[in-house]
Amino acid sequence: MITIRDLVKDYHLGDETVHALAGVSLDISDGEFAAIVGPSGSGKSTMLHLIGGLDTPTSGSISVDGHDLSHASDRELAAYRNSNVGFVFQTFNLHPTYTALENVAIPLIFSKVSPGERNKRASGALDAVGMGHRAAHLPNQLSGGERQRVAIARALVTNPKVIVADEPTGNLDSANGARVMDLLGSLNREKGITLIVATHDAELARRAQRVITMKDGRVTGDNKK
Amino acid sequence: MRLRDLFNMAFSNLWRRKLRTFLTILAVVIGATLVALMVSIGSGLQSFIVNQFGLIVPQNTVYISSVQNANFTLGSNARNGPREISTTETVVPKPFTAQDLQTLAAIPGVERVDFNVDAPALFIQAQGSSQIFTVNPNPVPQYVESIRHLLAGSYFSDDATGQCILAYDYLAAFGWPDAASAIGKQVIIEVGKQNPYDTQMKDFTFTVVGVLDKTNATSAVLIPQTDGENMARYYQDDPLLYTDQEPGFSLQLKAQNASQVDAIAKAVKNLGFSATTPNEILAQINSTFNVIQIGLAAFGVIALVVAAIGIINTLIMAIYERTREIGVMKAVGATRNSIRMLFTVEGGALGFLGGVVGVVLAIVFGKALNFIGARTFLSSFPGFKMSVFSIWLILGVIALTTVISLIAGLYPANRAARLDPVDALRYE
Repeated sequence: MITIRDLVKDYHLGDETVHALAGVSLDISDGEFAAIVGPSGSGKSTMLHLIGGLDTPTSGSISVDGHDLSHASDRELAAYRNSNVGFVFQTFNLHPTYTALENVAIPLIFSKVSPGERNKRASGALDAVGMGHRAAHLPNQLSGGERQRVAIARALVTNPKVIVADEPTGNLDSANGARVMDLLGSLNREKGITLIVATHDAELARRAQRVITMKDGRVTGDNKK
Repeated sequence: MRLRDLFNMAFSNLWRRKLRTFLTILAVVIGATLVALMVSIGSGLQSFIVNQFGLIVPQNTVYISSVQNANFTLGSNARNGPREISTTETVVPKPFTAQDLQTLAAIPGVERVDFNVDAPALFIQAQGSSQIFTVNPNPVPQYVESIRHLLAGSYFSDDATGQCILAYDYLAAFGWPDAASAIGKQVIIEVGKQNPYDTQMKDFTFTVVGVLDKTNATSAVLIPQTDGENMARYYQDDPLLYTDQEPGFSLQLKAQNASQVDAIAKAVKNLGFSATTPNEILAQINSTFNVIQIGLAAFGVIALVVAAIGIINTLIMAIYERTREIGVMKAVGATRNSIRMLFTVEGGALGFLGGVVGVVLAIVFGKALNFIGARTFLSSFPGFKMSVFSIWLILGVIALTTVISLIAGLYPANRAARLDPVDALRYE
């Protein structure tokens, strides 16, 4: 359960203050598939960063499964990011000199899992996204769609309750985009993972159970199907 | 983060940029090699001098002087104006007296008291040869003489006269083929007068009874005390010199046992004289060499500081290159501390590897120097090594480069740790 109340996030760009979030209140239930849509600069990414514990709000409160993220320390946020949430990025962000398997295992390094156990769990996550056969490949030996599936495996490997994805299909052609959407949809349906996706992709938004529309740091629409 | 993963990750990051890592380490290697080699040469010289000292000075001797502080300023500084002198003792050096000799001999543990005979000579020549050479006659009691190593022959006794032991280098000067052939030969040491207007000279003839092993005292000729005293009396025109009436300004005491040396020196100082023990002289030599070694090492340390700047540069470059990667690591659960540790280990590894390679290189260069030296410019000093490595020097240099590079890594590591994950992920 994600509870967001009066969430404000200001950025300072030189002398100018940008209100990335200007008071947002929302609840997202466990197992929900929510798409956040809106023009660039509407605050979609900032929402994801705050839900993902990458950033802390200027004011207001946010809690995910009982973790109060508005007043957490660096160590607490790092532990939360490690075990409670998985990130999927538009640009995949895989480590170029690590194999697919090693990339998927990175989060487990920070939770001090033994190397043997790491490999077992990373292989399992790669199998779950249908990339088991590419485990020993480096990212530059994989197609864009394959890279994104490896990145999704990395997000899955710690068994998080929530996955946040920022434009996960933004760098993919439509065929690969569709496969990634299918994959994310099935994780949500079959594993009950709460999925929050920021997207410009109308097709991806159409698959979501709930579409939250943002503009200028505020929620301007919230449609549940 | 497990320690093993931390090291794996750090080394794999360094390995990714092999050339840059190599160049950064190379700078550390140069510094470490310089420090290690310079200090090893310093310790080579030091152990040589200390060994030589041990061959010349018996451990059970105390050198004493009647003068407390030998800084008499007799009319030396005309610009300082007249200053009142409280007692003549501060301007007139006071020699030992017959009474002092008895007092000193009565100090518990003192076996004997000997004059410290200064016997200047003009030259030395082999009997029957017209070639003359410089010489430093060294009048010594038998117990001092007998710690010197002889190549050939034997020592003279305390009551001997007209016998001498030559430094090895006189063999070549006199054209004698080897040490054994010198034994029994006659040499003449010529002594003049202290008064330059008196041009008389006197021959003192000695029979060579021994030849010294090769040392740095290359123009020494050991002679019995009695002969030295006669030469000094002739030189100064003073028949009472080095008798109980005129013992001179310096004496040497022989302790019954080397362990009593410090107690004797203390007793001598309590009598108002100054005393120096072999250990004190050794400590002075060692402290002088420590200063020399620090001076030599300074060049290497400067090189290491430059290398440290290279490490800072390399790590800052790495942060720019890996900003997104740092962002991803944070996104998947790395704490600030994990990132800080990662960069610190990378910096430390550069210094550690540079230190190890540098020390190995320095040892190789040192061995080469010893090898070449022993066959060329050091061939007359067998056993003298130019470059000496102790385990402490090896570990010390590696520790030094590691610590310097860890310090160099502090700023970049903190900078990487403080990166905001959102900014880092957005970084292009």
